[in-house]
Amino acid sequence: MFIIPGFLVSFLTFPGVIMHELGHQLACWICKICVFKVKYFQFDTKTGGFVQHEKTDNPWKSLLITYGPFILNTLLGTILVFPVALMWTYQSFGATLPVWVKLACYALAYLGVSCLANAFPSSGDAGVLFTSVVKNKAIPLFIRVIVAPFVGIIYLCSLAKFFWFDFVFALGVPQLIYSLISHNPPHFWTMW
Amino acid sequence: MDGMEQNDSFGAELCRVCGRRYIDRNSGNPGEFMCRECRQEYSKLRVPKWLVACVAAAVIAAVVLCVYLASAYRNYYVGGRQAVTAREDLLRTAEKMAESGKQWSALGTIEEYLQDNPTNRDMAMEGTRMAMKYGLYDYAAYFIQNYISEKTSTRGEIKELNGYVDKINRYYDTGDAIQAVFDGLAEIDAESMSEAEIEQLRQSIRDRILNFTKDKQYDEGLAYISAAYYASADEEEAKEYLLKAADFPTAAPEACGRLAVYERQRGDFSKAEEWIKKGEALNGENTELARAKATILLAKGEYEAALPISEEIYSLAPDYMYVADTYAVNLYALGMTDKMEEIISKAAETNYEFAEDFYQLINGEISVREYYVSEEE
Repeated sequence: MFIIPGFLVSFLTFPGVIMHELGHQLACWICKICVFKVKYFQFDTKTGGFVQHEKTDNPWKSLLITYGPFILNTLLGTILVFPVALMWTYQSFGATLPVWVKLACYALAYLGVSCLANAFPSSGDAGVLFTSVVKNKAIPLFIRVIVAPFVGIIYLCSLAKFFWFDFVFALGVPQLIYSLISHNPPHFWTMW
Repeated sequence: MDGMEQNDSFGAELCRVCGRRYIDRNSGNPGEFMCRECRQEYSKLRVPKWLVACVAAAVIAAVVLCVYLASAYRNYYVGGRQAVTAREDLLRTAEKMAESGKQWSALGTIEEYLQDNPTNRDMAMEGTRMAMKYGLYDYAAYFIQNYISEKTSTRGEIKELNGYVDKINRYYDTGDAIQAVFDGLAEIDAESMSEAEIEQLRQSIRDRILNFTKDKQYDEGLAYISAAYYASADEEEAKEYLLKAADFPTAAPEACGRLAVYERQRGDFSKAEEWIKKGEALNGENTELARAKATILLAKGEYEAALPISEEIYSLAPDYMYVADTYAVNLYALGMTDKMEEIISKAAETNYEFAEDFYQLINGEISVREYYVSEEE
């Protein structure tokens, strides 16, 4: 497997890292959880950014805060890659577009792909969710059972990132949109 | 006390965040560690303005682009529907032309359309399919090379095109291989060779060409027709190869033309016309086929009917084998001797050589029928 250090990927996709942290922050705000410090992006080899917030015993709030980036980044990423998918559809009919439109589409696609690639919660996020909910005996068992698979999913995705799962997802979303609009099979790399 | 928060419980702890006010024990949270003001302050959404502006700008840009692309698509679709109708009309016309034996003209019509609409991949695909169907691989190669891009093709189309490209490559490779065989002949001085040596050489060339028919890398039709054209002096042997070549779209029109000539020479016009009909289904505008048709009409005495055909093939390929002969014979048969002399003079300028019996014909030694039907001689 072709390995690129994680921090380098973070640097290259820094808009997505910023959105990831904003996702946590927004989820905290929705849940009325106090946020003490937010670092949207930093040149650090360990972590690209962080959100320091108060702990909560509410499992649903914990779940939402953990999955906040996934929701925000996926939504925003999908919006941002939509133009490029439309552009491909348009081009698949043999039509040509002005260069500025193509450039704008690809620029937004970069932002969109960055968001999508950073959509998945980190294993650190999973650790917090595991400790605050799954391991917390004060929380009813059935809730812990419900939340546990969400923790497992994050860990699985973290493992899959070794096989570039985050980028497969990030590059796959625009292709999926293209396929749904144009009814054509995706072309994968040739489209980019 | 001034400057002090009023607290419900005596001896309460100070807020762990600001350290100035008491922890809000009325918050409902048993683990509360902040004062009310701090909680209110830190519960606020504090997103930097630059970040809000960037996200808003990106989303607005995405929406604007989507609207632009959607309207461009709608315009393209409306214009496209008209274009599709025009394209479908043109395609239907081209298909009718092809079915009526005018395959070259049909593909020429598609080519003209593509020159005006180079991005119309669908038309290029249809043109390629038509060219492949009628064995006109040069046209197919031209369409693929100039108007079809792998990027805008679906997987199914790419698979289909790969099949065509394989066939086209085989066709050109066969042409090159046959040319290489004939290139070797340039160094041979045939005049210094005995008849037996010439025959031996002929057989060796024929065998080398026929070897291409055994190799899947080569186009069988092209190899068979070449074997019949260049390597075989024996008419029956040539017929055998022509019959085989007639089964392959790349060589069928020409093979049918040659077979029609073969039957015409034996006076069997109905068989000759059958071959013409078969050839026309693939390419009615093939020079050899059209010439064969004209000669059958001339042999039957239908000189007026033959004239437009012989005139057309002369205008398109004056130097092609026997084309000038056919046109000149047609003019002679119609008594247009001035025009015939003009053709003979033009042919002399290009070193075109008329057949020996052509001069017998124009000298009145043989009739047009005798000129075209050998068995009656």
